[in-house]
Amino acid sequence: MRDSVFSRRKALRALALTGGAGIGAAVLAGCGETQVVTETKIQEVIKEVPVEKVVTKIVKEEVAVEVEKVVTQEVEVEKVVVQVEEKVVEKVVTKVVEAMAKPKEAKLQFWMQEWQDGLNSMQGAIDTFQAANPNYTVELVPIGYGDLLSKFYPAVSAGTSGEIVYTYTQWWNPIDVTKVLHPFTPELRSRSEMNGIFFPSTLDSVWSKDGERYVVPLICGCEGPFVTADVNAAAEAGVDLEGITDNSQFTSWEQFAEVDQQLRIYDGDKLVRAGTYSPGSMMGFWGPAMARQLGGEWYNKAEERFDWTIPEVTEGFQFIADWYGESITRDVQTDGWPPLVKQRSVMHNVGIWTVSYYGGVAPDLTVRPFVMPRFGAAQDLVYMNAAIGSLTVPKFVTDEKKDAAFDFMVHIWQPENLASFGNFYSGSHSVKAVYENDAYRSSKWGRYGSPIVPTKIWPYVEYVPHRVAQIEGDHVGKMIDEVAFDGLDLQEGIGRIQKDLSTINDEALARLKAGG
Amino acid sequence: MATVARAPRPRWRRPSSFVLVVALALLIYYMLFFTAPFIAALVIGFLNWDLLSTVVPVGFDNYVAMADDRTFKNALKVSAIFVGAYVPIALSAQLILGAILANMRTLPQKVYLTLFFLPVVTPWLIAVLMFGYLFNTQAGLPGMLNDIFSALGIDTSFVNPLGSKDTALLGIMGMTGWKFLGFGALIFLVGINEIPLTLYEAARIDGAGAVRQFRHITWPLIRPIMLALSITSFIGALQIFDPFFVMTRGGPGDATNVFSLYLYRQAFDQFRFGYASAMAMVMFLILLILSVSQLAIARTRWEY
Repeated sequence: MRDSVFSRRKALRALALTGGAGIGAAVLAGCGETQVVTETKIQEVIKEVPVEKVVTKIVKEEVAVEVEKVVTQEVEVEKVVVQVEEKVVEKVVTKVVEAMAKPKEAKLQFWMQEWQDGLNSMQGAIDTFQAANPNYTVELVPIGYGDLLSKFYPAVSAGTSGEIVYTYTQWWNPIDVTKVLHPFTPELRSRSEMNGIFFPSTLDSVWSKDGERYVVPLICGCEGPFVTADVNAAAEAGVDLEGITDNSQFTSWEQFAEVDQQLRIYDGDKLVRAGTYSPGSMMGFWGPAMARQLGGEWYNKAEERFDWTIPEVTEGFQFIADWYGESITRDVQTDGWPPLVKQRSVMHNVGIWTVSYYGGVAPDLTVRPFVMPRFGAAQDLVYMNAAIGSLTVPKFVTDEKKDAAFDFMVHIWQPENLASFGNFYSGSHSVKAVYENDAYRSSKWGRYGSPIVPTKIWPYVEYVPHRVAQIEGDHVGKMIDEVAFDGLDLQEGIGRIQKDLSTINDEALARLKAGG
Repeated sequence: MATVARAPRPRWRRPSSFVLVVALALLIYYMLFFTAPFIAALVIGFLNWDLLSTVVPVGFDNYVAMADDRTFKNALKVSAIFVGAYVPIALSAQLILGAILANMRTLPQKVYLTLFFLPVVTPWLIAVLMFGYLFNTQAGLPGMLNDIFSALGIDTSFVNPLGSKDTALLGIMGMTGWKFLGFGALIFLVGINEIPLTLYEAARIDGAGAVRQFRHITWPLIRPIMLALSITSFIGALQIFDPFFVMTRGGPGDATNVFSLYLYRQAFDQFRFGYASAMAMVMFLILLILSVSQLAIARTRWEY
């Protein structure tokens, strides 16, 4: 048989070779970045530089000072001339010739959790940033909320994550952040300047051994200090929540507990509607907060270890577990999302963010935030709060990309860029100036937090520098849940979390001591 | 006397280039996506590591820690209960359905098979959302049943499949069984259809009824299929993750905190990648032992 010009065997060989060559080319092309050589041009720029000069001027000013001198029933007023020293700041413009290199270009990726409204807001900020900095390009990359951590960790480890990443502060508990992230202090701002921009407790949410700041905290759902309530449903039950509270804060634990009880509905012995819907994880915020309010330091900062065996923990956890076991049942919990819509409770103990959440899922409800009081017999007011959504710049980002990322950080935390969040989100902000921004204060959802978050929440929030992520939901809250509903002995439960959390804490410390 | 010429024994022939290329591609794929991650997990299991910080070798500490980890032991127990209860019940239901379908005429068989196969192709997330509503104590099935029973004076309001430690696992078992019923039934249907009809005809002539036919003909001849499905069902049931993660998150308490969910949380909630990798190795060993045991049984020659 004559060989065909192009047999099947030859065709398959050609295909394999071509495919292999193609794959090889693709692999080579994918390896490493294309090297682009840029020429640095020096250009002279004449720039007007404002220079501040302080000039002291002596000004004589006549000031009327009232001096009472009683003279036969007449009051005399003496006028006194006072010398006032006035400091006048003069702006002097100096012409300076600078030799400037052509501005370096940088292209950044910003990994943000998949949250359409949040993405839209961030994109707006990115657009204004790029307009002001045409040499910078920022690409917004949405990552599914549930995937953000699992994608971020390996990517940062491999140096392939975005240059700016939206993270949650509790992720950094077990990690030595000095090894992974760029510090913003003192390079970007000093620590005191950061304390002026952000509520100081938000900066404490991520601890670092050198005391510098490694995350830019932005927004927080504020689980811990708040309950949100359907005020109309409460009114129908005879409770005027806005009337009886002090600027939306319960005046005492007794008042809150009484209201909670008043709002419950029972069918015989069965709780049909709770006063307050609380998932177990919330007890993980309330239990430790109660212990702290009683003065108990359940994490020894000097020795870097948990000590849940202190008496304040027992007292606080028992108090919380007793209330919890009486206030809700598993039936209502598992069946009750969203509880205010399903009328399984009147108050919802999951943070101020639920005000806008209910605004979206049930616009007919009138949901308002209320601040928790001190627990029981506690003297101090301390809140354990949720993790804060924050921006970070991984350490592998260098040179012009790092400069660009830092410039972007400063841009993002300008209040006008964060104010737009108030149009769709009622969670709290870490940047002080947001609450002074008129647009935010009058926005659809920002107006609820503005009167209370700056003064009633952040000053009382405490972030404890332990080494365990998720202690509220995975450990403490679960234990209190079992004490309340499953008859677990409290001391046994405390022993369990002491052991489990110490194991994880010590593992993290071992890594830190080995070099971080 | 005529002799029968025996066919010559085939000599080994060098495989063609095409076969070599395909085999090489498969080998690379297997090495990249199976062998390399397995070796990585094995090594990481001997470390205290969170992917970002300094690696601290800890030897067998992670494995020793499991022995002292109450939640790990509970996760093993919950998984064992789930697998031990779910697999036999599911396989039985699949076999019964397959046998029923085999006795149907073509058109109704196809219709019912399609209906039962729909859950198989339904994504886990959809299934979980559906059952979340179905198990709702007010608007879902328990709520409806309670409305019916309470009219008869019987209070069944306590029924809360996902809210009770005693029933949460059962609820997820039911959902998983619903999801895979059609798949197993299809496999059994194919197997039953391969059995020669002459065997059933002969049995009928001998006076055997349906039950005896099943016991003496169907069951022995589908045992290989049963064993194959059993192995895959055990492996699948031990690794199952989605419904536990989405519906219950391991709760109430630790009632549905299965092995795979606990492993995931150690890795991605607590950043204990070394410990999670060690747990993954333990899961691998358990599955290996289960699979080898069942394969050993499968090699047994049965007399028919």
